[in-house]
Amino acid sequence: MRTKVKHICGQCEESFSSELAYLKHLCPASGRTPRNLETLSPKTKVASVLEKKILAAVQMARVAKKQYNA
Amino acid sequence: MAATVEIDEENGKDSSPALTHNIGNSNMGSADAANLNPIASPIAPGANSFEKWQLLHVVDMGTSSKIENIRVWRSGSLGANAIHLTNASISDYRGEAKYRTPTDDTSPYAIFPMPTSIPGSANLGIGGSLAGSLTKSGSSDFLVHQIQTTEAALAGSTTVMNYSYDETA
Repeated sequence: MRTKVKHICGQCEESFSSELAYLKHLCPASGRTPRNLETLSPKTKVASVLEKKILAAVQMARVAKKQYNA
Repeated sequence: MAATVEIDEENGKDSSPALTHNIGNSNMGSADAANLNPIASPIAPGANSFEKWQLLHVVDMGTSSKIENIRVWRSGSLGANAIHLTNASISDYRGEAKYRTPTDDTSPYAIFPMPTSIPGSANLGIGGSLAGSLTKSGSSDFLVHQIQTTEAALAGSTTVMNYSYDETA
């Protein structure tokens, strides 16, 4: 049986636990999903990067709150 | 719509490998890494690069029904005192190479000179055979390649990897 492989997007360097997860991701570097060659508009690219930053900030805030409450 | 194809590279131990999809380059160097920085990881004269283990990956067939006849070659010349070897061959292909931890020892897989012009027929297999084909999403056999140098090798050459395949609508 094939060893479990970690999947990494060569454009944005995000890691995925499965090939399906990789194929479904919207790459902030290329502005498209791996299955879709159509390049998205710069606005969409910016929005997807912004969304990623917001999610990271929320995650950091949750961790900080948890540490503060501990 | 044409099929969507990318080049992938597998790195790391064969017990816990990582597959980097849609690599940005095929830089060869003294590290087992995709998209490596050749300035940070140069090949010392007399040494080999780490093997590259790469795949042609069809992520979506689009409206195509078959992908076959994969041909791989390099254009541009290496510097003197360096050779570029591969497992790809139109006449002596040894079937599918099973992934193993890339090494900078002399590769037992990359043993044929990398073609420097488009081969006349397939030189990289699918499912272990040069006559193989893909009718749904999937990957080619591994393309294994390595640069080997002598002490007299000089830095500075840049070449281009080329990939060709037939696509049936």
